[in-house]
Amino acid sequence: MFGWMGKVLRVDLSSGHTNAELTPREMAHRYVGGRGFTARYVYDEVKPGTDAMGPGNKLIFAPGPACGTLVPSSQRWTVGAKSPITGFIGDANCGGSFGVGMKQAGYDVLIIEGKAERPVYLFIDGDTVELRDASHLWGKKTAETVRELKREAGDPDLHIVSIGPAGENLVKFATIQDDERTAGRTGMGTVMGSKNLKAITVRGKAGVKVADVRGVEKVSRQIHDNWRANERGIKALHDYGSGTETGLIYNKLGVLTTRNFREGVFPAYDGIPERLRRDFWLKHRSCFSCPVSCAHVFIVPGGPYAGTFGDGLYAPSYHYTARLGSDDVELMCKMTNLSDQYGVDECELAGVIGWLMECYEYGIITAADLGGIPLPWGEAEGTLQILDMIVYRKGIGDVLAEGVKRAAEIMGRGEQYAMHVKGLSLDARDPRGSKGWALGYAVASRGADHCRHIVPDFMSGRSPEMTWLRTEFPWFKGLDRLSEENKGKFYKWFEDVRAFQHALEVCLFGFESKDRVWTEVLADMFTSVTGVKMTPGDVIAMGERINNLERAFNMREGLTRKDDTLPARFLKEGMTEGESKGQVVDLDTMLDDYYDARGWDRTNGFPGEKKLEELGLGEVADELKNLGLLK
Amino acid sequence: MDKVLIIDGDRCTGCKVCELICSMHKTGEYNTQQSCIRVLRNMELDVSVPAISTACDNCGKCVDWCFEKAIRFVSYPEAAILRKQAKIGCFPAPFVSYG
Repeated sequence: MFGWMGKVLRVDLSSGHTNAELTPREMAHRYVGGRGFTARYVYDEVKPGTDAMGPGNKLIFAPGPACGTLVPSSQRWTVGAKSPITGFIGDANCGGSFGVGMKQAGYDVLIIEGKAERPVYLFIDGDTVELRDASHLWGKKTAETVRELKREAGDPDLHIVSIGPAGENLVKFATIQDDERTAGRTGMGTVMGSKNLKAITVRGKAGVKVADVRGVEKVSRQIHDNWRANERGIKALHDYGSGTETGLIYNKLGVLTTRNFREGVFPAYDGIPERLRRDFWLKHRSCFSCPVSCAHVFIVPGGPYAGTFGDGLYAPSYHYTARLGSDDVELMCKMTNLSDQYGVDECELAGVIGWLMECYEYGIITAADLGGIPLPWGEAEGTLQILDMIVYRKGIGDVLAEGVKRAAEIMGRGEQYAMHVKGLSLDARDPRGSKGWALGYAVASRGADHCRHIVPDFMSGRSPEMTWLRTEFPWFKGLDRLSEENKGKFYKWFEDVRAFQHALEVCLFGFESKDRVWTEVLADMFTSVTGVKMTPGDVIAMGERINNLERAFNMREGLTRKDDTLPARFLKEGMTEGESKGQVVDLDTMLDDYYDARGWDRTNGFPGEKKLEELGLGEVADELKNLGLLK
Repeated sequence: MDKVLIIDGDRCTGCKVCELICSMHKTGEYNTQQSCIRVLRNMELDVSVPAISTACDNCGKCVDWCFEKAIRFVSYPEAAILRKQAKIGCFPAPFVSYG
C-alpha cells in the first residue's frame, strides 16, 4: 500500500502483551485514517456502557495516509476513546510530530488496551515495543517528562506524547501533549491517566512511499501558491497566529465570548493581539510539513511571570481573556504555560472558571465555597489558585475537576450558567451571532465543538474568498451569519468535509482553496498519495460514513435529539450589545433542516437502516436493530 | 559541493519540507532521516537551524520548496563575503543525537 504503512500495533497494558496486525485494506479504503480509524475501532471495540475510566475503554492513536509526506499540514493525528467527560464518543486532533513518528515506526494505528498495575511508559522503536517503568516520571509536568525521555534515549528527535499531573489525577478534561501541540478536548489525557500510561515515545527508520510523486508535488505546490496569493490570510496568521486576529473580528461582530457568554463584546480585547505580536512573540513556527506556520512561541518579557514561555495561543487568546473578563496578557500567557505543563483543556478550564466567576458575581458561589478565594471577573491570583486546586484535586478543586456540567450538578447551584453541550464546554464564538456555529455546537458528535465543521458563515481575516461556494450550492444566498435558513444543508456538507480532513489528517485551514471546491483538492491529495482513485463525491461519502458511525456509537450510549441542544441562554436571552444585539438561536428549525439533509429521523435524530446501508454500514444497522434502537 | 548553503535562522520555521523533498529525490520515499539537509532544533525555545551533509549535490530542490525563503545556494566567494558581513548572534543551542 502507498501512504499507509500496513501495520496496526496493539498493546495490552494489563498483560503486557503486544501484537502487530496488518492494517485491513478495506478499512483503509473506507475510513482513510485518523478520525476515520479511531471512530471505527472505538465503535467496534468499546462496547455500550463501558466505563470510560475503566480498563475496558481503549485509547486509539492514528495518523493519516498523507502523514510524513510533502502534503502540506498532513502531520496531524487523532486520539480516540469513549470520553469520560461526555460519556459519548471522544477524540482529539493534534498537530506536532507524533503521527510522523508512528509512520516512521511502521504503524497506521496504535491501540492501547487494559490498565497497567503501576505507572509505565510505552517505548516504540520500529518493531521493538517495550513497556518501561515510569515511576521516575510520575508527577512530572509535560516538558520535564519530554526532556527526561529525550535525555534517556539520547535522541532529540524522539516523538513523544505524555500526560501531566492533571491526567495522572484523573481531572476529567486532561489533555495529551505532543512535543509542540495538544490533543485537547474530551479528556483523552484522562483516559491515558486511568490506564497508568504516562507517555509514549516512538521512532523508526521507515520512509513513506506515495503512488504518484508528481501528483503529490503538484497538489502541494498548489496549496503553497494559494497561500502566497492569499496575502491577507498569510499576514493574519503570520502576524497574529490562528486565534487572536479572529478575536478582533469576533469582537467587532459582537460574538466574542465575554464573561462566560453573558456578553459578546469586550473592548479591552482589541489591544491584545498587537501587544502580543510586538512584545511577546518570537518568529513563526511550523508543524511538520506545513507552510502556514500559524504557531508562535511566546515569551513573557517582564512582570511577575517574566521568562514564562510556551506556544499556541488560539484557545487562550479568548478563553483566558474576554471569557474571564480579563485583559491581563501576562496572566493569559502564564495560564497557557501551566495548562500545557499540567495537561488540562484550556477551553474546559475557562468554562469552569468563567462559570465560577459568574456565579460569584451573583452570590451563588462565595469565597467560602472556594476555600476563601475571592473570584471576581479578571481575578489573577485566584484564577491561578483554582487551577492548582483542580489539577491536584484539592478542596473544591476535586469537584471542579469533573468539568463544568458535573460540577454544577454536584454543587446543585448555577446550572443555568454552566455553558456546555453534552458535557463539553463551548469554544469562543457566541452562537447567537453565528447561526451555523450554533447548529455545529449542538450536533457535533463529541459535544460543543467547532472543529467538527468550522462552517464559514462569515469571513474571518485568514480565509480566502471562496468563489466556488455559489457553484457548489446553487441555492446558497451568501454568507449570512444571522440567518437560520439552509444552515442545516450547508452545515452537513462542511461537517462531512471536515470529517474527511480529520481522516486524511490535513489541517483544517492549511489547505483552503479560493477557486477549487475543497473536495476536489482533498480527492487529489488522497489519490496522489495512495493511488486509490477518489472523486469529490467520494470525499463527502467518506465523511458522511464517519459522522454516521459516530452517531451510531452515541445512540448506543443513549443519545437522542434532546442532547442536540444548546445552553438555554443562547435560545432565550438576546445578546445585550454590539453588532449581534438582540439575537437568539432558533435551533429547532436548523435541527429539522440538518436531520433532513442527513436523512435522519426528525423525532429522535437517528439515522435509519436505509441511510446506514447506503453508506455501507449495514452491520451497524443490524446491531442497532438488535439493541432496539432502530425499527 | 561547489556551492554553499546560506541559512537564515530567523526565517526558518522548522517545517522540514526541505528534508521531505530532498529525501524523496535522493531515495524515492519521504524519509527525513535519509535527507542531505536536516533542521537542527531547540523546539521549546524556537531555534531551527538547517544543516547539510557532505553528500549534498547542490541540486537546489530544498531551496525551490522553502516557503519562507530561509535557504539559498551561493558561490564560495559570495559566501565568503556574506560571512565577513554577517554576525552569528547568541541563541539557545539546537540539539543533536547522542551515541
